[in-house]
Amino acid sequence: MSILDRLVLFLPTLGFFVLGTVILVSAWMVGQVRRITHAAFFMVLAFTGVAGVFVLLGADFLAGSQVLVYVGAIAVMFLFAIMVSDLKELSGPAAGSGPGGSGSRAPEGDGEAAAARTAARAWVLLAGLVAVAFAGIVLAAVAKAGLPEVSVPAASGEPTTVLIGRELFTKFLVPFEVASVVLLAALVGAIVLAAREDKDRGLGEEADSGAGAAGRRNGGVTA
Amino acid sequence: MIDVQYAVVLGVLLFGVGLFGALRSTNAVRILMCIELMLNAVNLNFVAFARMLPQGSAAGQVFAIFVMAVAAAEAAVGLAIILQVVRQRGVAHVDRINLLKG
Repeated sequence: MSILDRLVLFLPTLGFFVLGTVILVSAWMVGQVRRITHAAFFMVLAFTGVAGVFVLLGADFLAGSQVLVYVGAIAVMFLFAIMVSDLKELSGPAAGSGPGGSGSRAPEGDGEAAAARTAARAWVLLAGLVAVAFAGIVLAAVAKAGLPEVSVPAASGEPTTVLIGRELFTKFLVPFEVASVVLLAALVGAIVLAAREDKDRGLGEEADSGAGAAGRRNGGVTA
Repeated sequence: MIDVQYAVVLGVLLFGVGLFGALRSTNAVRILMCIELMLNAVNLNFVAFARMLPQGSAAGQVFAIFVMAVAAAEAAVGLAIILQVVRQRGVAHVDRINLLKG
């Protein structure tokens, strides 16, 4: 029984390390895997792992919104963008795709390709150096700061939703409103940027269809 | 029990991995994905440090929610820009987006 108790106490730590491994490996794969669609799915895996860590840290509402926003909205948006822009280059290691592709299919190296490959390798090395230097500096700072031993209660029991809601609508009311304006601006900007402009249609017709779309959108919002 | 330190270290490592991915890849979509991962690492740190606040304060989690909102806006606008660049130039490689180059 005592062993079982200790096991139960040990379980969150074990889960944390498992989740951390999953997160780091899948985040690494996002940068390494060849197909961009696979990278998107590895990104989903990393996001889900972070949601699990949020649960372990006692932030249940945040874990839920992490799954909803990141996995449900952002990752799906990425997948849509990848599939809408049907570029072969986006989904495969095209020739001369730079450091990520590493797929220079010409082994009979003319000097230019070889030079490009060397430059790409140097670039990857530099990127790794920057990342390792960053992580090392911050880890050293964390070690030096000597964070107090605040252990997270494995299960605090009460949901954090009430607390977050109260703070969001009292202390952080102005940032909250600003965030809503930012989201609205991003929505409008994304629609304007991504709208396809057809060459063979007249300007007036396009304006008409735009107004129609806006009307439909408004109707959908109010309905 | 999870030490706050563990979560912070995980956040740093995730940020480093995302930074490496963002620096080494030339595909704009992949760079955006790595930026999302870095924002996630920041969120992780916010939530971890929120445990050190006095009980009954959720400021760290509120900050993480704001980061999520900004990340969603950034992803939407970034993907729209990439889509437009792909339509106009036919590539999504940041090395070859050189419209402003003299």
